[in-house]
Amino acid sequence: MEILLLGLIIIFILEYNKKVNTSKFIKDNEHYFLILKEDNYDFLVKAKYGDKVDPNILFSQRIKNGFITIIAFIFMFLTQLTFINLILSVVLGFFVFKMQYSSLRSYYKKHLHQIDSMLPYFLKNMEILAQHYTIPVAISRSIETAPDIFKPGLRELIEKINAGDSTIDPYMEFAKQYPVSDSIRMMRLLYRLGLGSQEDKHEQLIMFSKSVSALQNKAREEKYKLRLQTMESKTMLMLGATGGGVMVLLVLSMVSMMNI
Amino acid sequence: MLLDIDTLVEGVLKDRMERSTFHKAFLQYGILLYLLVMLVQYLLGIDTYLTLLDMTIVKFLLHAIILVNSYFLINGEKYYNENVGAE
Repeated sequence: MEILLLGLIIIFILEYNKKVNTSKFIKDNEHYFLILKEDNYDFLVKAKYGDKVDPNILFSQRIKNGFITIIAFIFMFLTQLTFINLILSVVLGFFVFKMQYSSLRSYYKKHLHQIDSMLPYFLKNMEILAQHYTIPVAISRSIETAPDIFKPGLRELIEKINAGDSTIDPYMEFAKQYPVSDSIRMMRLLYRLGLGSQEDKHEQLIMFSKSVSALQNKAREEKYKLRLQTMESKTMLMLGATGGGVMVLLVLSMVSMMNI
Repeated sequence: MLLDIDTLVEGVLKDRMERSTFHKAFLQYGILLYLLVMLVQYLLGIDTYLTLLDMTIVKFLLHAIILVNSYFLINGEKYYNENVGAE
């Protein structure tokens, strides 16, 4: 314990006086560490933090945390340093290293699910507004009532349209910002709805509303299915926990009876 | 639009029926599990059961089983009743 404290103090002092620099060590050996980097890491970081954060800096932070964990555990096991303890500390360091990645990934999954479930509601709203207004006006009117998750994307979209971009690009960028399977298709439909002349609009609107209905139906069914699954798993958990407990009780009683 | 409402009503009704069957099964299981503890008593016979009860671990286990079961029942019941979702 004392060794650990002493080591920590010495490292802290050296680091503080710029005698050693751990970040430089990581930066110098970066291309070795890049082997450890997951393929979609950059993408996940961008999805969560946008452009504000540099994935490389975050990655070197991860490596640093992993190393610190390994070294700390080695110090802790220093008095009984066996091979298993060494492996254990490496595994723990790797676990710390992977932790951020898995949290990013689970965030991304949750985020996608939220978009998936909210998109039909937003599009239904758009469908009603599109009957009375042109598409850009309908979009700007829908911002207030749109689900919160879409608001920033919508603001960007409307800004680009107002700046004079009448191509499909702003719509596609919106779809890319919310990358669920239906968003690209629906945004393309929306763009075409905006392009069409007033006479065709009615037919196109009917087409659009049919797609939205199908989407809504799908989302609803998905929701119900998920809810039933949760209920089922709750029941199963209850059965498992209590039934298992009773089993253990029975076994215990049998063992004690043998002893008697 | 009318077709939409039709499918919506159908979906909601179907879901409600499914949920009520699930709910019933859930409650039945929950109560059966309480009965399971009584069954253990019956299987072991009163005398052995009483001697077993003197052991602290058995006492602890029995309490834990009842508490865990109650927790699951209440938690599940809350879930069934609250998460209806307005359509």
